[in-house]
Amino acid sequence: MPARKLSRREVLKLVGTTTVTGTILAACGGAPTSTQPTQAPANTAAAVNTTTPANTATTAPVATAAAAGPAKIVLMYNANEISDAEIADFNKQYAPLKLERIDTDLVKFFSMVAAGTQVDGIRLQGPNIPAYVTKNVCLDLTDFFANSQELKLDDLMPVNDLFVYKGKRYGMVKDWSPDMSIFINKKLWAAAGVAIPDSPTKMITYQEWRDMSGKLTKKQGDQIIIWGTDFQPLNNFLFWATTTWNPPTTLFSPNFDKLILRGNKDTLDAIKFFTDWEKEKGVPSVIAPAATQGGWSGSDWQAAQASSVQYGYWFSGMAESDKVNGDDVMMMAAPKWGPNYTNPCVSGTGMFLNAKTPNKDAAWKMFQWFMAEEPAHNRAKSGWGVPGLRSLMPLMPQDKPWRKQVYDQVQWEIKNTKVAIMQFTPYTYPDAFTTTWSKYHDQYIKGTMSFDDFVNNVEKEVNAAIQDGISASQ
Amino acid sequence: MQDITRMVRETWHRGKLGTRTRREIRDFYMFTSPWIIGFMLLSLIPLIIGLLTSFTNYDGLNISNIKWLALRNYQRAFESSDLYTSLKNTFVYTLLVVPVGNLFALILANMLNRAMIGRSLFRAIYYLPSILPLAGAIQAWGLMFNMNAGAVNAFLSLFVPGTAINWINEHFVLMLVMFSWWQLGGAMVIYLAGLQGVPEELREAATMDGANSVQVFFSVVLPLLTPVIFFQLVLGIIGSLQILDSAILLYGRTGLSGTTSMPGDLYMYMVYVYSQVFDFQRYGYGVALSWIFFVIVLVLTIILLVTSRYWVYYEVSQEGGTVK
Repeated sequence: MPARKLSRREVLKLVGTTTVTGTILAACGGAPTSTQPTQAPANTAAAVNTTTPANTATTAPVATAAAAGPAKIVLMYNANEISDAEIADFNKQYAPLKLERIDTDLVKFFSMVAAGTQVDGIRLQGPNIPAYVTKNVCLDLTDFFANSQELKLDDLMPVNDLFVYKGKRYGMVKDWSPDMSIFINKKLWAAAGVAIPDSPTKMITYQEWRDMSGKLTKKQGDQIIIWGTDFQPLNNFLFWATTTWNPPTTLFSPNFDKLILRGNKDTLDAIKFFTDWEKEKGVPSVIAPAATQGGWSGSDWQAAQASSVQYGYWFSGMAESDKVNGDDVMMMAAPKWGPNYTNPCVSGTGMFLNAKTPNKDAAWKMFQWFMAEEPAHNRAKSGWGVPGLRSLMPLMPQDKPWRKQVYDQVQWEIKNTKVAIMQFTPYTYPDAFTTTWSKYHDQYIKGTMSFDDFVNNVEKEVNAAIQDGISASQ
Repeated sequence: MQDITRMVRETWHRGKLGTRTRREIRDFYMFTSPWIIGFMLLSLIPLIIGLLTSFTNYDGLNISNIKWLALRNYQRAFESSDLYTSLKNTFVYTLLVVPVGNLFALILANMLNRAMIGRSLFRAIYYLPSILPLAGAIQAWGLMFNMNAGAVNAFLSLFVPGTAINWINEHFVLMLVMFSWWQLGGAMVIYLAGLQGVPEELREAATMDGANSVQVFFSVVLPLLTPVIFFQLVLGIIGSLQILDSAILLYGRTGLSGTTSMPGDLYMYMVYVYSQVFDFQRYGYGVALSWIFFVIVLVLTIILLVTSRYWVYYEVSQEGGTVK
């Protein structure tokens, strides 16, 4: 049959239709997610829709997980936490798997999940896990861990329970820190004439610590030249919870449908203690901010303008500076609140795998590599966090006397304390708590709101967020 | 556009179209279709989806069990004291930023429109802050005005040792207003262009009639600048009402993932919307707040447009032809 020549009009129609259709498809469809065509084996996980938070992504045992899948693995993590060289090594070692990193952005993650765009591993702080599991976005890794030769359950530090929800394990920490440990600048302490407590053999109380840091604070007129210490109660909801930590406590009702502050006397006492400390300008706050507005005293410390910071082990990564000699650095145990010594891990940053990952095996390989192989070794050696695996502990830096002291102190913490883990409600995000806290805390500190109103408002608004979360999950 | 539609209407009623007319109509739609398609896909459809979302409890991930709330999100918004507090703060900010900022920009433009040594250098100096990336500029601003470590208090301490003014936390709106004034170089450039469009012969004629420089400015230059002032006011008001990033960045962010860290009595409207959407994951409620704000901005813009006929002077009639 002879080919018919298209008329000019037909060509125009064809071009127009193709262009418009292409545009619509490109706009509406998800971005291509793999270099190989595949069905998404994890779709069964995404389809699970239940009012019970625990019933989330279906478990995919390693043996039955889809062996084939896209070669591409997308990891949502910060650039300063995984290097290009490490990624290149993975791609070489695990070829044909190909790892790609994108910046952490949890709002973007939600959009990607909604659009069906591939993202496999996601950076997350432990307290968020219950809420994420409730949203059906976390892959249940219980069986993966049970069968792993690299991530053995008995090698996991207890802090990894931050990623356990209702008995199922959804991830682990990349590293962690006993967050209430204190770094001190011995030179500034000596200049202030304050004797260093014989930590950890002599435990100091928070009241003693508050008095001590007051003596370490140096002022010129109304200006604070040297801070005694910095403690940031804003984020430390876990700390409030652990003030009544024996027996284990929570800030929530038994079924997690309410935040309880007003009915929790010990917690209220703790909040009052620290907000009074802020009001007397003993620690940075809205009425006496640190050098970094709204933030923390890290830059004050590095400029030798903070005698101490109560930030925990991870701070050892930046404890030395041009103005702070390592020989002057020392880590102390956390002060003691109440009858029991607690040193909670407040955030516990780690990773979970997306329930919709198209190749669970590949994603798990990447997870193991990130948590047990080269990146984990590099992190342990860096001094920015305590490893999540016991077996990696010897890699922690001990090359200098001050680093050895810090290492020994961490080992003492691990040996003598139980890391406090608090289960956050699955119906809202910790962000909702911290935003609400900021909203009223600063007004209270500035004196424009009473303590009762401050606490009542926080409780009321977080409970409204919890009710929204319950409604959205049913 | 009007000609084309008239032509289409007339030829349609006549019942037949000539080849040339058909080609012109086809060309018209071919040239405008990319914009129309883009508008539909990227503006109209998202707007409709956004409007529908505002009637739901969408939280970003509950698409499978999303609930229709009808007007409950709007009701909740109007019952929230945060809405009124944030609106009040935003209007105060806008009232301080727009008129005063425009006045400063006009004065600067007028000064730099005169023949003087180093004129280009000063123009560049005043314009420079407005092209700095906001995130970096606001960080620098925050550091300068920090209570204990800032350069401003350090300078003041030379005169009164130990000066510790809590600029950012106690005078937050003022800090934002001053930051916006610091960046008025963009407005200055537009006023400068407007001033250079004023015909020299009009100034000369007024001078020859005995007008002094103040009279020339108020009777000749200012009326001719009113279209530029109107343009600046519309853009300035819309831009100021939408203040978000500089407020959040100046006050600082905190929490596990960098949440909005600001006392409720300092919320700007878009900060409130942002915190609801991104900290609480209340997408439906956040979009409802955005629609309420859209209506407020629309009403203000319409008021400005309606009143402009009484004070904006155009040399050319807006309906075509010269002003009578």
